[in-house]
Amino acid sequence: MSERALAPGCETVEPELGAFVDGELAPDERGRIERHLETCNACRAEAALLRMMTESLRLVERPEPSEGMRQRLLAQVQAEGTPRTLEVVCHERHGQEIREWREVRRARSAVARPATEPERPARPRPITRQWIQTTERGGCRQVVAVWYTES
Amino acid sequence: MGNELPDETLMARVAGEDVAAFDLLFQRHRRGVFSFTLRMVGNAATAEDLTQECFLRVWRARARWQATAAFRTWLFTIARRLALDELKRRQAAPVALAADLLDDDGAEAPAPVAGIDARHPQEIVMARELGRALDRALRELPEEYGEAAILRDVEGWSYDEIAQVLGCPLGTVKSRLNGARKRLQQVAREWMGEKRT
Repeated sequence: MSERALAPGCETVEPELGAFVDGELAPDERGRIERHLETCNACRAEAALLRMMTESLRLVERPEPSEGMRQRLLAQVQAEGTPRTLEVVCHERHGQEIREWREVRRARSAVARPATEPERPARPRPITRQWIQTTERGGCRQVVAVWYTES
Repeated sequence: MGNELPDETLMARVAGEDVAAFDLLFQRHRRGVFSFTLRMVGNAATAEDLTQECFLRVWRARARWQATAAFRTWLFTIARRLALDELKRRQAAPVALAADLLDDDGAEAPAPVAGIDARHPQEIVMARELGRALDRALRELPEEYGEAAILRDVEGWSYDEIAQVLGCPLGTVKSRLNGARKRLQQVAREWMGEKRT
């Protein structure tokens, strides 16, 4: 990791010193590094420097955003409103043939998410793939489901 | 309310339109997201905007939330994407922000660090001074080194969590941290040299 000339044995230890100091090595690898450090002053000094660096960086300030920002965020969340309309739009595509059905639910308070994905009525043709997407806009949550069937 | 609840439980409540649970998640992670974005983009006002946008996206994505990943890594993936977009938009390296970061107003008392707190107060002062020198150097690193080093050395994340946020293998996290520390070691050595003279 440093520019120092590496002694024999150090070249495989040095790239692991950071992970060693971070406690991110497997026990056998950790043991190998520890045994090397017992006999190598240069690597021991390197590990001590890395440890000092990481400990020092953990002491730097972690400032927090202003209370005003929290208020703005919560106001925006409230302003965007919770969805009171749930629209479920379903398409079944069989080649050029498209079958569509939809359901719209309105509530005085927030509409719950559909407990399960929109359910496709049983049809004789097997589904080859399906696509479901949920979006929200203007207090309306829309769930669009498309089923593609074998031609 | 729910102070002891895991993030994922709170997020499930947010998905059910619970604004109080959302506020709790915000309070829990606001400092981490702000600290991370501040170090990435180098400007407190911009970092605050990015933090707000990050949590707003969480709110907007609540209906799609699935507890398949840890909330924190998902949150920081959003924060990172916003910070990188901001840097791309600027087409410039982060500006110097010593004044922003060295201002102690509102800064969290740093968490106790094993090994440091048992030392003499003078050593803690020196360690904090070195930390600030390294923090300045951290913000001048290439962004792929800097983001890994911020998450590990400032936020204290595991390699596994960092790999999830950066979307790269563990080996890449390790090599990026090694690259970052190579530069930081030079700074630490220079700093110690100055202290000796």
